[in-house]
Amino acid sequence: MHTEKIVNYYEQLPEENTFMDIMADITHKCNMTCKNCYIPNRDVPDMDLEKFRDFLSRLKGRCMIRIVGAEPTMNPRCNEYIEAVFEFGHRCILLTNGLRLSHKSYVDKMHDTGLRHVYLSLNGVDNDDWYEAIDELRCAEKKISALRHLKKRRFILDTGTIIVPGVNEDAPGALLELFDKENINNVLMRIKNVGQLGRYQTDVDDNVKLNQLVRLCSEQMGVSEDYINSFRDQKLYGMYTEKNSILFPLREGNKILNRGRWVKITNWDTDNESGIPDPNSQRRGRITENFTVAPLYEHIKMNEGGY
Amino acid sequence: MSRTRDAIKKIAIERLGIELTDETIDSGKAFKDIGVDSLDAIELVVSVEDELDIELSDERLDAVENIKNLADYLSEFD
Repeated sequence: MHTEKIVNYYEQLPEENTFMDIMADITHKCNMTCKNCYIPNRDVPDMDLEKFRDFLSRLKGRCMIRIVGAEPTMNPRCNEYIEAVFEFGHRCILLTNGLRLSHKSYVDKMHDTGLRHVYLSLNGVDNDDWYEAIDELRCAEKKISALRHLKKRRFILDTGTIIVPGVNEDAPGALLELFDKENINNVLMRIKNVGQLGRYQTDVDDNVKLNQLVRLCSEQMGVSEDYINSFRDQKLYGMYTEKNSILFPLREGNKILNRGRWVKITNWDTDNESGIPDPNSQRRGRITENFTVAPLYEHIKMNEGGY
Repeated sequence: MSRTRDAIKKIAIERLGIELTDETIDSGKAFKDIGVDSLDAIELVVSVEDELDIELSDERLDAVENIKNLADYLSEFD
């Protein structure tokens, strides 16, 4: 357990919860071996569904429960975890690599749970060379298939793209080209750099920094750096100010999040005294092995190589 | 009776846990004042589109400041 650099680790009972977004790692199994993975340990049992239900029943506030893994669809009861989230009145988003969502029947199954919001990782966009260099799998065809199924079922779509220097710095523009081609007009594109947690391929010194992410998005997405920077320090989702994120619509004047094309640039760099991205976040929590809630990155760091 | 208003009320209670009356809708209160935050707003819009099998215009949605604006826009599909 790492403790030397952690500045503010604590745990809350579900009844005491103060977090808005809570990660539920329902499995540590995965069907990919990405080079950037903050929880690379596969030897952890799946989350107990009944304990999860009990946790949700006691959880204070209406939270966004992020169903994550490793790869959450590797849990054969993934749909039941999602159904439980809705049963207890919380919101839900599924964070996935999308391989299983390349099958229409699986997307239909997720839709049947009441799920309407999916975060799909698209590190290589539609470029198999990029996927191979970052995620060690040529999977562009499956990703695009997942995108099409999600669009057809009108899911709210977030995509996630890690920018790796020397590999996919052209990804912001490539995303727009792909979405033009697939007629995807409502999406939140999350662009980030490499986080130095767990397994990663880029050290802090070589990482793309926040200002460089802004420049890449500006150059490739048809908006000025001044426009992007005007959204710094604005409240995310109307609630939280986060120093490491910038959220903005590509079309000025768009008001409804995810309606039209939006971008969220996030700095996952760990070049700070805590050694984690976004230290002291009041927004992101994580369910611990003991079904308490802890601040996300602090908990990951404390358990690096473990849970 | 309005099928679009009924859809808003149904989705608000089922998806957001918020009970909306005609009075609340017609009050013109801002989304946040009736407990609808930015994440709820997109869920409401997408779910209404799904329920009614319609597609709303982004440009028209830019002008939607509150639940009454949304109900008025949707009434065009009644």
